[in-house]
Amino acid sequence: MSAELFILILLVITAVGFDFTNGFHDTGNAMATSIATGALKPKTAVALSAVLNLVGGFLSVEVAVTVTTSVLKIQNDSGGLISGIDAQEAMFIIFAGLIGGIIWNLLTWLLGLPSSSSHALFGGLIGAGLAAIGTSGINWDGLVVKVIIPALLSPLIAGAVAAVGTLGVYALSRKVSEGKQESGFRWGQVATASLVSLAHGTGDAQKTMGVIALALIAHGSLSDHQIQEHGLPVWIIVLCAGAIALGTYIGGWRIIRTLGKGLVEIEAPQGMAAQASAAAIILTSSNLGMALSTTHVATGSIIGTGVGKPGSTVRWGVAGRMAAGWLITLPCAAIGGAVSFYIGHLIGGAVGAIVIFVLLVALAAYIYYRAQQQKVGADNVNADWDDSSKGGSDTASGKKSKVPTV
Amino acid sequence: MNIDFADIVDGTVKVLVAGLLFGAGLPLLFTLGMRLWDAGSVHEDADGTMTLGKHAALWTAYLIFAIVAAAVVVGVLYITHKSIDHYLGIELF
Repeated sequence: MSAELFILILLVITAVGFDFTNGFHDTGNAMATSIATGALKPKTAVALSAVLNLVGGFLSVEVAVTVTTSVLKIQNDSGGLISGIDAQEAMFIIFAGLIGGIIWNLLTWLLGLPSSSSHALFGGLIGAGLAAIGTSGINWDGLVVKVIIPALLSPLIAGAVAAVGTLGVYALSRKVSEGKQESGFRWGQVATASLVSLAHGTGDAQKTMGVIALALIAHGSLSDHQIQEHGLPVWIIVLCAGAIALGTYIGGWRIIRTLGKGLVEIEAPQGMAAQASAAAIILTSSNLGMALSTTHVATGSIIGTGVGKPGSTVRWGVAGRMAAGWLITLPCAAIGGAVSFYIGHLIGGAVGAIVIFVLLVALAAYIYYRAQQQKVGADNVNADWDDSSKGGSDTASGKKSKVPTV
Repeated sequence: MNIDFADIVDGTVKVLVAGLLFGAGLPLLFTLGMRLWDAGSVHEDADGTMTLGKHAALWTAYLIFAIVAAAVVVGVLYITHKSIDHYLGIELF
């Protein structure tokens, strides 16, 4: 086996790993509100979301082959590598970018912070690109227009829509009998949450498929022409759809908890208003010239629904820590990507790839171990939010509360 | 830097309008449906008297639920329209 093929295999495994973290990191975007309001039992919710993500993944026919072009200048418009980058360097950039993204996804999961998986991936790729090529390798305009500005705007837009919806839904439903409210809002929540899950499967699984396709193109075992003619190799679709669904089913309970219980005490009407806002914006935004991150939209909607309900309070401290997390996602994932690239590239070849892969596995195992010390699962995801244990570090280091808060 | 801010403002306004229309409008319509559904159903008072609901309200409620359900179906078709085009050759949007 050549060194390059070996690197490619490790890279594909890592990409599938990223896809898996993408799944559990984002389960809450669709299902946190339904779980918090009791519209769906926790296990049922994640199972439903997983199935819809799987279906969504398999529906991906137009794969985001040019996934890196919004932040990096290593691909041309049709998905091929630009000249001047050799195969091994390109693979190390993608590999290191994925590692940066995974580590940030795991860290934020440990802290129960809902942060955008796409941002983590982009951040990792930017860091690796900077380390490999320098500032000329980065698509700065794309970074600002397609990543940073939408991230700043999406919570505001989603929040406003959800606030208006919540206000209206409460006003209209006041006189409706309790039994009818319960079944009506349950249906509303399940339908909107399902739409978000399906849209997530089609959108996010494609990103990893695009990354794997790029790696295969860099390696030379696939060409952008072939993809246009025959579509992606089926094994990539199966792997990615499966990984994101499995991740979703595992359930990022820590993040679900923050979204469903930490920000706002959500009631059924709010759950429906928030999820309807999220679904509508996620579905329409990409077509209207502004692709927004599912995480940012869902979180903004949940905050908006707290603003819109008369007498409801938003825990702005939690929201603030979350916003801080979003701000540092790109740079932190970039550092992870850059460091991984330096280590891997410095050692070089198959050995370099093995070293960064082993480092990733070790870090992931450590983070998982820390998470197990203060486990959040389907059983305690809805436990009362304890305000006394504030501070992001509490979750990681402290043992003050039984259930971690952000 | 070559950033078109007018484009960004344009996109933002469009997303906001679409969001309000579908993301806030549809749940409001749905809630209105729930209210009519409630008004159209048989009510039992505290003393056990049964009151018949209004027929027209009930049927309007069903109509509204059908519209909202259709919107959800359109949403699903929209998510899957590229796959439908790819496998069945039907261009929906």
